[in-house]
Amino acid sequence: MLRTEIFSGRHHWHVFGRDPDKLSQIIDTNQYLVRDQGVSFLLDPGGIETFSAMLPAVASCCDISEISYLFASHQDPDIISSLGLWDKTVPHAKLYAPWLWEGFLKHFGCHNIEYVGIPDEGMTLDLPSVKLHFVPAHYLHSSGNFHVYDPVARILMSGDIGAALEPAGAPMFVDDFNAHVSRMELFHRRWMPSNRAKNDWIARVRQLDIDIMAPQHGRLFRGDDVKRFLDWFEALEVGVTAQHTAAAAPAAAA
Amino acid sequence: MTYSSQREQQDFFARTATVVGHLEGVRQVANGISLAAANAKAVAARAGNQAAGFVPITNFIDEMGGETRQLVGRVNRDAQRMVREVLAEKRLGDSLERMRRGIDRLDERSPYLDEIARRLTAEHSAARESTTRHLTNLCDLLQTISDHARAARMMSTRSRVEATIAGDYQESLESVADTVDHAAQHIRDVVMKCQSLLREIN
Repeated sequence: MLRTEIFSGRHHWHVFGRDPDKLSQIIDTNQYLVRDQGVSFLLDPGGIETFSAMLPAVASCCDISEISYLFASHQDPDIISSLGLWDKTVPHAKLYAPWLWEGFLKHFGCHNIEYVGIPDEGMTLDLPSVKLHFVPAHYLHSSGNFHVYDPVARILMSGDIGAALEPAGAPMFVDDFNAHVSRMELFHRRWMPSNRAKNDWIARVRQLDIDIMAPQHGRLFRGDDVKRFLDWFEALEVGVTAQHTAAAAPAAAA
Repeated sequence: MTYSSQREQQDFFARTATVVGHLEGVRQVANGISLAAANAKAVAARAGNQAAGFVPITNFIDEMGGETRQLVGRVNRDAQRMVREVLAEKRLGDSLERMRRGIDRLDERSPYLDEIARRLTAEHSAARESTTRHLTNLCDLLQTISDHARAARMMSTRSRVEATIAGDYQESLESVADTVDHAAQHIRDVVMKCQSLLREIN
């Protein structure tokens, strides 16, 4: 599991991903850690198949026992099916996740970790030197979904928004936005169900000062590429379309 | 109890689940025995002195049917509990394996993670011991059911003898004896199957 530091200040952001030993049949994922003066916060910690690789990777940048918080943007297994393992590893921690998914996520095993349900409008979490914001991103794609915004690092951890399906060994950051579009388009058209939810999110996010947009799959966006992404996403037609419904409909009787 | 392979553990789970399924059928058959005993009581009451010797037999059979139902209920509950515990044990085993794989890849030892692994190992061992205890208990209960069914078969033989002196009620009482005998035999057959399934695990 590769670790890359993407912000260094009084607190630090790290991204874990591009595991060379990842099983070929599972989707690649980015996991994030915010470390702030002896307190660590693990965001979208990953699926059960990535736990064994995540554990030493996280241990390389912090003492495991200092992980006080976990975050799950939504309920997908590639994000949080390792919960049962983290539950045993850091039983003292709190999991911040959408209130909507509590009864579902606990199917992964959650006997020790305290579940803190994030209300639909979002909330904040105070770390020693930064207040993190849980930003609503419902229906993009999950019906209960949040992103994490750090106003000091100017990082938006954007979950599935900005995701790209890429081969192993892809760079950590987008270096050619136009070339990157083809890697994102299918994912966003198919997974994002609502143009209305999309435009609502874009309006909310345009108000934030973002230097890095960090999705859960594929490359991160920085600098001007963040704005380029928002413009591209705004123009993209997503979700249920006439083409999909026509393909699903049975042939009419003659 | 130890598993030499994942396949063995999966087999254990499948066998336990099969036992639960078989025993559901036994519960229904035990219901049939009680019904037969109730019929026999009614016939014996009509037969009066002609079937006086039949009455204690029907009482016994009725009691045995009730006890068998209760035992089967206990076995079912224990077996279902054991299935849950086997699954919990499997989950713990999987967790332990993934934890150890992660720990093995650490650059430096972590006393914190070593302690977590130690606790997980202890939990896993305790789960395995609990499963073994449940299995032994299950086998004992099955043997008790089998013993009850054998006693019922002996009673049905005796009731056939009593039926021969019941005059006009002979046929009815023999029919009851046959019902009890077939039901008891069926119960013993199913219990033997379950015992064989569980014996291969133990």
